[in-house]
Amino acid sequence: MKTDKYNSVIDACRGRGKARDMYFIGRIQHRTDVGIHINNGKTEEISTGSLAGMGIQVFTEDGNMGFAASDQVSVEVATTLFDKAAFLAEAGSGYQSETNREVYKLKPLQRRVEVPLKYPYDSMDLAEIEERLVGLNREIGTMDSRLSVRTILRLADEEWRIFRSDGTDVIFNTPRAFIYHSITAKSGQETATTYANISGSDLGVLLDEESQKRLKRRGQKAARLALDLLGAAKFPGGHYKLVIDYALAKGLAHEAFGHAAETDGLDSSILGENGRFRKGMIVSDPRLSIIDGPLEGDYAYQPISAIGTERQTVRIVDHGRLNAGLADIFSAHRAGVEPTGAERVESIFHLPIARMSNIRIEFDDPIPVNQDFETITAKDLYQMLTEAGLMVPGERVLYLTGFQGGQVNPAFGDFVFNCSAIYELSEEPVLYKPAIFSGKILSVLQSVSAALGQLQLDAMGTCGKMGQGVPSCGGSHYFLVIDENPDVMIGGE
Amino acid sequence: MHERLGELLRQSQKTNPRLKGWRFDLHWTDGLDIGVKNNQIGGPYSAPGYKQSISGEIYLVWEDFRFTAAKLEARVVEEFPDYLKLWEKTSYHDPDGVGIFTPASLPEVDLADAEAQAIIDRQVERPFELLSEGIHRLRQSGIRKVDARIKCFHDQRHLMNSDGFHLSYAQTPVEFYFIANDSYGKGYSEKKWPDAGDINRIIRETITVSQQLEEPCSATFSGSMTLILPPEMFETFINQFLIANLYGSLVLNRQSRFVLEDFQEHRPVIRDDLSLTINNLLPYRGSSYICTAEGVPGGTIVLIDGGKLQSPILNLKYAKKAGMNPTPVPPGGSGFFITGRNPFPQWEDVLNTIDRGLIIYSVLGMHTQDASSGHFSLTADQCLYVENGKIRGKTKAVINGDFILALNHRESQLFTVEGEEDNPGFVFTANAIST
Repeated sequence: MKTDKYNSVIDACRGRGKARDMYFIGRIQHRTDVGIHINNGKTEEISTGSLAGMGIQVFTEDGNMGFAASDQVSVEVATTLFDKAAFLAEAGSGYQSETNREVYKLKPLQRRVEVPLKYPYDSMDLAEIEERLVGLNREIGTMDSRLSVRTILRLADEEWRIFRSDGTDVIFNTPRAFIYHSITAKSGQETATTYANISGSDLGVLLDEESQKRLKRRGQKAARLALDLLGAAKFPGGHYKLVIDYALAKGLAHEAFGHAAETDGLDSSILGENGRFRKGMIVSDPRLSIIDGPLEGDYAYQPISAIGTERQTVRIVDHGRLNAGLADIFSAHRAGVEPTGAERVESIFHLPIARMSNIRIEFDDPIPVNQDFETITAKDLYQMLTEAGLMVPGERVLYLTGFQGGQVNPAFGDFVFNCSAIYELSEEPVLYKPAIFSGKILSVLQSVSAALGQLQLDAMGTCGKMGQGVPSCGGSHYFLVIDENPDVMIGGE
Repeated sequence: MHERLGELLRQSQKTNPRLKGWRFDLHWTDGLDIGVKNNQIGGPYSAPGYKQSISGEIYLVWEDFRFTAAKLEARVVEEFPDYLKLWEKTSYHDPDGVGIFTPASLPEVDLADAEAQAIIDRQVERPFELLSEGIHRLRQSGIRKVDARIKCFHDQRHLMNSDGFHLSYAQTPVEFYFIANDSYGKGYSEKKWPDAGDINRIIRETITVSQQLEEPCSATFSGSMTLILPPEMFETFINQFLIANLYGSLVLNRQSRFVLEDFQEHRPVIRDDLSLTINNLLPYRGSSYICTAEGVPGGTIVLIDGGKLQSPILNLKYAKKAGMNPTPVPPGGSGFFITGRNPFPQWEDVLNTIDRGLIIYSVLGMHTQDASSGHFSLTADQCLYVENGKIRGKTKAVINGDFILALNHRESQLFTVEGEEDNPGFVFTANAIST
């Protein structure tokens, strides 16, 4: 692998660590990426980038920490960075900086994980990739003259080598790819923008037949939705019985529970009590579980943590009970949970913090659906719900579709996420403009009462926390039903 | 490195007739980054750090309207032949693409501060001291939890192009912020070390607002309501719903609320007493610069004058497509100014006139909003409820409305806040439901 060549750099760090009697964690990152941007059938830009750099986190005997990073990797750079980090660790000790010695408990690990790619980074000529993307873009743009479409393909070939003073040396790659359509419908002064995407680990997002079919369906569905949203009314804000799609369910799991379960913030998280994880607390129907863990081939796959430990699959909520936190080594003990290898970084310039990977809501005994998700209309959903006895004709139920991102303040227990559109379900569903879904972490899951369809776990995004953006993914069954709850509000007119 | 890269590109142009022109924008950056989490400096998530990087962008013009856009990194000179091959291989055809631009003249603006440079080089204790002072004062005022961060960097920027243009200058971006009780934070972002007045103002404001947000009030409301956006929140709304619609690439590709004809015909889009200007020539401002990566000089440009659209924000390509002049850009969504025909009233005077309203200090979900539509639907998780001109205490609400419409309403008001000279605050009517 590309980072194999840095043995001398690692030896230099180990030598420096011994000489200064300091523990350290080193990270070397190699990344090459390409982005292709098509705008209304024309190539707007093809951009490339690469990075090879390293970061060193050092720990004094009493647990003071310093950090240094550079986008160069060599023995000289490593030595300089080590000394800078050591100097800052010692400087911090004069200002009562926070100490933490948990890393000394880590056990050494030697591992190599190389994700095999069916369609690697350079398996296709760039001109052919460009031509296919232009075709995908035009396919959507030509549906209606009121549409304009931006299509972006991004491929990243990324590799990490993480090494510690205790002899740990792990290498792994985190390849990722996505194609993303941003579709704007415009008529007079009215505009509406919707999105469609597909993600994975390689060029399969463009070449794999099943991926192509799925992206096409998603793009067409999003384009029709953008057109239908022109002139759509706003729905009155309030509390309603809801059905959300799997991408919004990912938003629910991610914003409502994932962040609050990250133990580096448990001191102020609503899922903590005096800094301890509130394990055992009942938070949902006993059929519901929330699970986070890496899935091979997934956009957010990361098998090894940013400190060189194995990333575990964690049942955050296990059949209704709060079960485990997403724990990094520095905060796990304080939170009263086991470390789960949740540390991730955006790049070598960042310090590891607890993060999600692929987070999903699983519900026991979901109602089967014999249809692909992309082909299900609001009218189909109404039929499914009434046939399953989950709503009765005339009942007011809103269907929220299309995840547009979310945000949480774990300290206050508030979270939000946004959708692309709202349907009021009936024999002839009525479309409304999107509105924010806001809720309270501690009560929202109590109202999830049913699930329909199989698991779909490819709702991708970039998760931002403490100035770092990392790939995130997840999902749920095709649809979740959420009963009316005074702590869940749909913003609106 | 920049001289060597320039030389390698000049040589390549001589030996490779397909390469018609080039430009690059290279940054050598190094500096300090120190955080505070939960009242303590450093620790595992905000340990004092030193970072250095060589970054930037390169743009190559090839024959037959082919172009390369790539990021620069430290190995470029060392591995130049491989990079050049890669750049040619990843070039793309763009009939609307533009060649190399050399500015006729460049503005002068102070962007490098000797004090900030000295801190990076040898006075590393000063950022620690600033953070210590902030923690001490905030904790003394009763704040339970303080989080903070300071960054102090030196950036040596080098721009060169194939027409002989060469600009090198230094800048020293400094940022810091304090957040109290996870509810309210205030920050500083300039290209100089803050003076005692700046530090004092930021700490004082953080204390005042976070203390107000500690007092809950049991207001219940639903329906039309006065919303008050303090200057930084007003800037956030302006960025999301107005500035985002002014970018030429979106305007010309029909992905904006506005179309090119709106600018050509100077269509009114906000109230006729309001104007929107970009200015990136103010000394030591975080948003100031001498020229863009393309070589377009920084400057002052009126995007909306008396409520009427004047120009989109245009890079060279979209300036050519629009048949207009390229413009400076607001970097990172800052460096824009809303001004009025008449002076705005003071905040204290406006507050006295509000019967029932919400002062909004934080919203959740801004990045999820459809900028092109102008509609917003947000959770305002940190607000103060105002009744009969008095602040009653903290509340939360879901708010909903049309921001562009609000910028047109005669009843909407702008106000100035002492110490916040850049932009005013904004008072308007929208829907709010207490939560």
